Amino acid sequence: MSVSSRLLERPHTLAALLVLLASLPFLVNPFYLGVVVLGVIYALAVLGLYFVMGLAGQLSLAQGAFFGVGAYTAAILSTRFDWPFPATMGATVAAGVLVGVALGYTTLRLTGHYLALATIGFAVIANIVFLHWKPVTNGADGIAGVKPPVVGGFILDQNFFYYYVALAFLAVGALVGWRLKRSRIGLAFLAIREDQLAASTTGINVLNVKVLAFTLSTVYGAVAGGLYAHGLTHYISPDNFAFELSVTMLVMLLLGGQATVPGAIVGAMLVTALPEVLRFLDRYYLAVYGVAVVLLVVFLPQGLWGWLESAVARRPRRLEGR
Amino acid sequence: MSVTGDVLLAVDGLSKHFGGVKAVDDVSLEIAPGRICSLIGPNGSGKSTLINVLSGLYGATRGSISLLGQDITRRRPDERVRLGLARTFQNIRLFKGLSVLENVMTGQHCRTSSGLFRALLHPASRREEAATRKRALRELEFVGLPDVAAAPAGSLAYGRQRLVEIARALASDPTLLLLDEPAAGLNPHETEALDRTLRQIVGRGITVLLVEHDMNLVMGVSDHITVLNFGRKISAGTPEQVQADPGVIEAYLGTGDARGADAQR
Repeated sequence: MSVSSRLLERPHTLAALLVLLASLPFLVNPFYLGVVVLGVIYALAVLGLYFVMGLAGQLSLAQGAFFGVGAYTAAILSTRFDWPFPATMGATVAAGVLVGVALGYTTLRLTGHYLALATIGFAVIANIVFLHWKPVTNGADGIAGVKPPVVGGFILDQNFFYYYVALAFLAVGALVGWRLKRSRIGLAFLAIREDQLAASTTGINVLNVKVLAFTLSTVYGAVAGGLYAHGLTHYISPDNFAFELSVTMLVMLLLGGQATVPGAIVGAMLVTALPEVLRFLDRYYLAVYGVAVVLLVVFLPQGLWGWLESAVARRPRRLEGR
Repeated sequence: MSVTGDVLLAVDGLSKHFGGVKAVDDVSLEIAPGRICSLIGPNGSGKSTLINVLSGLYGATRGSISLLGQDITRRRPDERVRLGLARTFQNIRLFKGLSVLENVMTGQHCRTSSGLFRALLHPASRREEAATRKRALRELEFVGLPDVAAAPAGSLAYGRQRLVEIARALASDPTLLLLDEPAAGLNPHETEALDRTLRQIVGRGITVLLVEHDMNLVMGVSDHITVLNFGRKISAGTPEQVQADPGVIEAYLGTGDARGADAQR
């Protein structure tokens, strides 16, 4: 059961998943390419939750708001100040660090559900700011015309090409997440998830380590938001970052499997695609979706990836039994 | 007190009050390095509270604690570990979902330094992780559990979990190890093994402060004993001196605690 020995968490499993993702644009109907791009972008944001919630065990309910902070940062810098894509993306990292450190050090001092409460508050406040700080955010009208990235004079504004831009970010994010889990820091995250008090008397600076996990989540969220602003419709508005988005991202993580990188990615991709797959349900969609989430949490508490993992782990024994 | 030479831990006038309850009341004691000191007393006499104040889980109401001459009264628990003060818990607190090896590896956290960027970019972090793993295996071997490294910590039998917790504490390179009732729930055979392990720990130059109810273990292994009752220190000295102290006998018999009979003997 050692973290590093789990079958589906070997490096080649992650590599296989990334290869599969890289071939996805050739496999899906071009009509759905936008959904796949969105899935990859959401996956990066959900990977942020994997650090703070999956590894460090802290419930954060504002991933959608951090996503929004990144999106607005990128959109404003791109449309008003003409910053190129690499510069705005750098700014989203800075915005993520700023929000993570400020919110983390003020709310993570206390144990308990303070982070959950504070992040709900942040999510609601952020949306009000997006909606009403008109001189900066353009209010309900949103910001249109966010410029796509340009590589060697080639404008990457089509979903097909932009997909690979987003996937490059996701791949780096996934490798960082995968590597970090096996590091000294990752072990400290897990120790805090298991027992904060014991972690502190074992020599772990619980506050700093929690703030680090939280800041990783805000940075991932903000960077993903920046990708969202620069791609797809090149348009953002406050509706895109409502509180529901934070909840949806939480569902993505829970569904995929909290404490694994592939789980977070698979969960995000599936939940993003779900509305398309279940389109035939029409107005019953939300009801079916809700029931599906409840069933998953009850019957697959470790998420799809956790379930797959234990299924793979059981197989050799079954063979021996024959 | 007959402490000569340097003092490892000095506790001066330490109190911990919970509202009107004086769980620890004006306790002073000194611990010399290289010995096994014990803290005994009837149930509710403040032993565990004192350990919690020493390890930083509770703030002191009054008084001071210094480790190797350094005032640690207001330090965080993790800072105290870094300064050399490690502990175990009466009700074992392992990271149950992690493997035994990972549990012990966390003990090395404060002795290693790879942060976020080094873990991602620098090969030295891999070497550090390998060294941490090796060290953790050594500690598991030391406590006699070399074969369960990969098992989930929560799956081990009670007595073995206690040993893992000791190994985790040892992995932080402590100069002073606080053991809160390590023999609780152990069978006589395991207690005997614990006795040997305690002596081996002292043999490594680590000082032990033992809180324990098992009087055979305490009287056999301790160099010095401090007795608490109702949060106050009522006696201190060698096992012989403490056992002959009428105040101690009264404290134990007065509570009607069956274990008190052991202290009297």
